[in-house]
Amino acid sequence: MSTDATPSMPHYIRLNIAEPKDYFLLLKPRVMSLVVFTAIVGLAVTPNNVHPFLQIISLLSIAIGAGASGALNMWFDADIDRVMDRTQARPIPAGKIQAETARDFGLWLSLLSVIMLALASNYLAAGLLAFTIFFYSVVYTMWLKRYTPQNIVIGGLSGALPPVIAAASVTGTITLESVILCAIIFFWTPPHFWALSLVKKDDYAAVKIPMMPNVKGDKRTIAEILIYGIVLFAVTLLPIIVGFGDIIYGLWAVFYGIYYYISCIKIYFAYNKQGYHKIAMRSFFVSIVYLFGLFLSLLIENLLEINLI
Amino acid sequence: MSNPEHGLTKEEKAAFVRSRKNRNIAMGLCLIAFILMLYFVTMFKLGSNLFI
Repeated sequence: MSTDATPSMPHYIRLNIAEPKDYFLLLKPRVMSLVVFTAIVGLAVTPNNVHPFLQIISLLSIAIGAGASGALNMWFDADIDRVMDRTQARPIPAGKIQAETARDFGLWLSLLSVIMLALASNYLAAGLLAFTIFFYSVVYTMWLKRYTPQNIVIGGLSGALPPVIAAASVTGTITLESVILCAIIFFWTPPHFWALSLVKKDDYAAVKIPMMPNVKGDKRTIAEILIYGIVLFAVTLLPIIVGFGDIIYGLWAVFYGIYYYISCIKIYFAYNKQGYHKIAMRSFFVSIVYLFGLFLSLLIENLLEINLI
Repeated sequence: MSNPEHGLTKEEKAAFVRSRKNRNIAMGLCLIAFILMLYFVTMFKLGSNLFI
């Protein structure tokens, strides 16, 4: 990791010329919005009588914690972000913010988010948030990402925890419903990212990130996508069995789940043929719609109290 | 400590001052929001025990 983010920049760029929007981009707003959405669903499936204002502050704390993790990730990965196509426009490689500034910003926001959550809810939720920030920033970013092809499997836990934190913020306990939501995101993450990494593997190879296709090859990656796809399909049926998923969720989980799995099978048959990358990218986008639909249907059913099954 | 504005052209200095001003405003607004948040969190956590 480089300590100087902008070695070839003229001296005035080394001054802090960052605008507030550059700091906002440091928080990875798209990841943050996904975290907030899954946390909202975590709250929706957890009956509680906590004041809505406190729930909003809890969500805000979780969002800031996710943003802080993003800033710390960008600080540590400044060297590889400068090389990879899809990350070159980020504030640090673009020369807008120095890496050390991003690090300090991330650390302060981490502290702030955990304190805010402790004040607005309870110590369990705050502890879980602190653990999630640590897991993403240190365990995933600093260790797993550059060390093992299982990086996104284990590291995916940090992206899966927000519903658990949200539910803990209103109950003070770890609920079964939130753990199931966590499991859905956890088993969704590997096939989702591996579909992308099949296409972007040269990018990852250039910065020596050991993604599955670079280390084990495309065939093994596709086999793992298919295995995780089956486990994911089974896990998505748990909300119906436990009773917090109803007819809309059930229809989406089964029919779109099959549709998604077919998109994974298509990667297998397209291997080394024309349009292989296009089919892998399509599976990547289908997986996004799949997860969004699963959580949106749960949100709608629990807000409208639909109870048909 | 050396002056960070030393050796800047007029335009560079203007950009530097503008970005610093915007950051200060953003920081001020965040601080106000944080104080208000603490105030209302305390109120809502106390709830009906507020005037006992």
